[in-house]
Amino acid sequence: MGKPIDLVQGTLDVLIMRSIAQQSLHGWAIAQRIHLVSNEVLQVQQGSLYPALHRLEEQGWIESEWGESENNRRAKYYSLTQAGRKRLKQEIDNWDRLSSAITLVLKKA
Amino acid sequence: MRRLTSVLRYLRRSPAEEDLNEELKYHLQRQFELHMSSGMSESEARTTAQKEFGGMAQIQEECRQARTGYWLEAVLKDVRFGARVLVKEAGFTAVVVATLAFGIGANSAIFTLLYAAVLKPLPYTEPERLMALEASLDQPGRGQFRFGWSYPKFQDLQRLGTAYESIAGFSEWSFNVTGAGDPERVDGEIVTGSYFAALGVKAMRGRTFLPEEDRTQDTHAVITISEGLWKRKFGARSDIVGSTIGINQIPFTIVGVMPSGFTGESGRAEIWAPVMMAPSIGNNPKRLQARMAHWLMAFGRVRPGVSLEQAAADFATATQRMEEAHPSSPGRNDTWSGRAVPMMAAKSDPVLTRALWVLFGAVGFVLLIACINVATLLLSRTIVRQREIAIRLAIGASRASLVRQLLAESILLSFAGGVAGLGFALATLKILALQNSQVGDLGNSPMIARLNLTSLTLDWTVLVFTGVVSLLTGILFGLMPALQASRPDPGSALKASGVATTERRPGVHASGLRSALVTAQVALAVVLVAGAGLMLQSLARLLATKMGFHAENVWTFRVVLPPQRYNESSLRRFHDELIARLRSLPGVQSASVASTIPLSGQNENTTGKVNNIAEMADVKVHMVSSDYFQTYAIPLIKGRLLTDVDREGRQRVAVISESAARQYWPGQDPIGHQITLGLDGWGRPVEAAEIVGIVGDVKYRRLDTPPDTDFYLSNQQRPFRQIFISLRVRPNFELPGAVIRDTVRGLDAALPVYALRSMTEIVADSASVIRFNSLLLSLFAVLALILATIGIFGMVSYSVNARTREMGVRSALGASTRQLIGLALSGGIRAGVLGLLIGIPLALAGTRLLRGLLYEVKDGDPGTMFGVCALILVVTLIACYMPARRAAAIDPAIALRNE
Repeated sequence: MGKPIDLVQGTLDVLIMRSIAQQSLHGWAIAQRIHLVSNEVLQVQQGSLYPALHRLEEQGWIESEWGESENNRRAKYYSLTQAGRKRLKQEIDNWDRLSSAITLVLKKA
Repeated sequence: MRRLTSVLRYLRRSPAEEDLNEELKYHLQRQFELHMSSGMSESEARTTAQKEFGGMAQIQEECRQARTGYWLEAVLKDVRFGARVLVKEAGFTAVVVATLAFGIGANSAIFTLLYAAVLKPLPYTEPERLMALEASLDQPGRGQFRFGWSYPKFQDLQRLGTAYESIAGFSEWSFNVTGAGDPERVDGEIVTGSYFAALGVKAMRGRTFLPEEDRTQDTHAVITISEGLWKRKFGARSDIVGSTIGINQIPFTIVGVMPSGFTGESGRAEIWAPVMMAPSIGNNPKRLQARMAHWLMAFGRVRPGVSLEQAAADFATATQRMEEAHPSSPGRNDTWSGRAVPMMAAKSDPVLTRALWVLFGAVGFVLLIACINVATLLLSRTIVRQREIAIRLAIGASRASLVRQLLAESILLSFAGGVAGLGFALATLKILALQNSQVGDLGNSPMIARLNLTSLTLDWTVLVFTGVVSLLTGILFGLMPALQASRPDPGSALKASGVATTERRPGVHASGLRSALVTAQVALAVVLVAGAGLMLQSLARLLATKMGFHAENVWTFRVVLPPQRYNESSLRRFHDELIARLRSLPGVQSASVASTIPLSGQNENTTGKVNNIAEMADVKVHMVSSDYFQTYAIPLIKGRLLTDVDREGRQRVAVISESAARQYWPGQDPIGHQITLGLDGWGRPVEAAEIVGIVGDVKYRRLDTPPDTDFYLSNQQRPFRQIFISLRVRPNFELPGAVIRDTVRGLDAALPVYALRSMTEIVADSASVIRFNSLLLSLFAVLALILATIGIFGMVSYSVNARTREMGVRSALGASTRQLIGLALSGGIRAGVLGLLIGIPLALAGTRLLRGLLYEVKDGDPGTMFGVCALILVVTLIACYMPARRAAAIDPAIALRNE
């Protein structure tokens, strides 16, 4: 694993939202998932994760609920709201366009 | 909406803190377990997990910031903290709150006045759809006169004014009320049937007038009364509707009580009678038919869908058509026209309105000056707290949260000042009410009410205003020091704490800023002092103006003799008897009866002819008894006064005023000439008389208008009904009102005595607007001066303090005391002089606004300006005196040691 890449805040937001698109997860699980699915390239710091989660909830893209975790303890589960789903789609489209454009420039210019 | 739900969530949730803690702890636990399962020892796993986590507190803080609830929580915390700080520094807080109380309080007081006189919406439904309908007469060569309407003309208006859904008329009237307690003279109105409906006012009890009561003359003797009258005279009895009282000796039935606070269009009505009863009440059977008797005021409610401009244009054409159909003065070159004006505008007294706006600007200045004072005080204090602030910045508090906390303190201070200010405002209003119970001009049209100072209260509009002003003030004076204090330069501040520095360090001492502020204060104070000076001069000149009579020791009261019981001969007998009885009272030197008194604005306005040839326009006629001139000590210039000889059956005589003699008999002797005086429009016969004397001019209208051309006829030869009785008493003699009432009652028990006042009171009252202005402007100017002095004092004394070391050094190096003083004071003197230089042109521009309010003083009066300059310089010197002494007393040894 190389040095953890710094994630811009907006990018972290969309990663979080994507992670909970299929299934509600609690904070720790979200971090693990992002880490695993990215082949351990991306490591989300707690210091960025939780503020991001709270901010997303504040903005209305995700909602939270206390539930029982896999080891029978209380944990806060996050899931996407309707508005959040729409926003996720928008953000993914944006990201695709952005990254294709950057790739073009880097390969050709 | 989202904000709202999260605020609500905040308000009813269990502490989010616990939630957050638990959430983070869970994460920590899972990391710990992860490390354990990958082979680390327990302690190693725990340490790694915690290290990965970073600062728990910081994360918590960031999470909190992400939520709206946080904002609210933070503000509350700031407010609580701020309150603690302020309570700890009680002295500082007290000074600031007092300063703000004066500034904010003065604003609230003037706002109360402004609201009551100018801004308050009329208490009718949709008042903006109401328009006052005025008539005017333009006589080329003689001028423009405002008129009311006669009843026939009013009926035409109702027909022709199609833009209005209803047109109503009213006339102010005073009624002799009997049959309920003591006979009393009550002010009221005579109104047409559409009056109450047009205003949109319904009776609180009973009803208003029915259409059939508005149809035939002298039927249906019904009235409605005000709530005040019901309480005062009828003890608020529940069977009031249907009871009878006597109005001018005619029995009337009360059919309704109007709601509380309704005083009619005239602003002081307590009884309303239908217009159809006017002939009986006024004992003039032809009143409703006389086309040229203009006694009604009219207003109309504009039809929905019609704009006010359209309605005004429509009305102008309607009156034109009416004139064409029935010309008012045929054969003459006069133009009679009508115009419609929005009622709110028609009701405001332009002079008083202007005065109040000027005062509002003035208090704005005072508040600015106070804010500057408080801002500098805060600046000084933040220097003391620099260390605390620097530490907080260093450990990561954001600048915004720091500014917010300091602002919370400022706003707390300003709200405290606002509350105290309300008390100050109340006190100011009470003091004003003691001086003059009403402000405004006598003799104005009844649509313009005088501002009643005794009935002012601080209602919710004033509270809202005060709240808003307090908030803005707090932000205004708090923002700058807060920004200053939270400047991200913690390193140097930490180092420099406690060590005296020279004044050259901006940001911490901000001396340039301070002296700029103080200069601004002085400039503003200059403007206020100049304005006050001009007003005071006006007042002095006005009070010194020649009135033409002597007011001391003269008392006056009024009586109205109803036509139902007094015909001409019994009127004469009554007048004679009354004068005889009053004269025989102890202490009374002379007594007289007249149709008028000086400064009352009362007169009969008419035209006349000299020797049946030359025309006299705008003649003022007064009916006076023989002792009138003696009672008022009006000087005789030529010929003779009216005497007891001039009675009924003898030759008719007249006495004229100096101005009349000058105007109509230039270069001649008017004595012996015959004149005729016609009182047209009222159907009364023309008077012929011979001139027998000239007396000095007397001001009958206002103190600040020149006297008119007055003609005096003998009251005996032409007795008047609504009389003023005037008495001159021995100097220092107290004439009890009860004695007067008893004397009158001895002659006629059903006759109310009213308007009992001393002439000196009337004189004082007639200058009410200027007195009011002068009092308030002077008060504000004094406040401004005090605050500016404190500002200069503060700045100079701070400067001396801060430069103690420097001056100690200079002294040790040989500087003389005088040089030290000069050094210390230079800043202060510079601020004073600069403020003066800026202030004078500002004052010259600003006092132009006073133009309509001054009397015999020009707005750029050099004498006043000179006085202002001198005053400001003196004040500056006084402010610098104490610090100067301290500077002179600096002992270099102590100064250098004392660091």
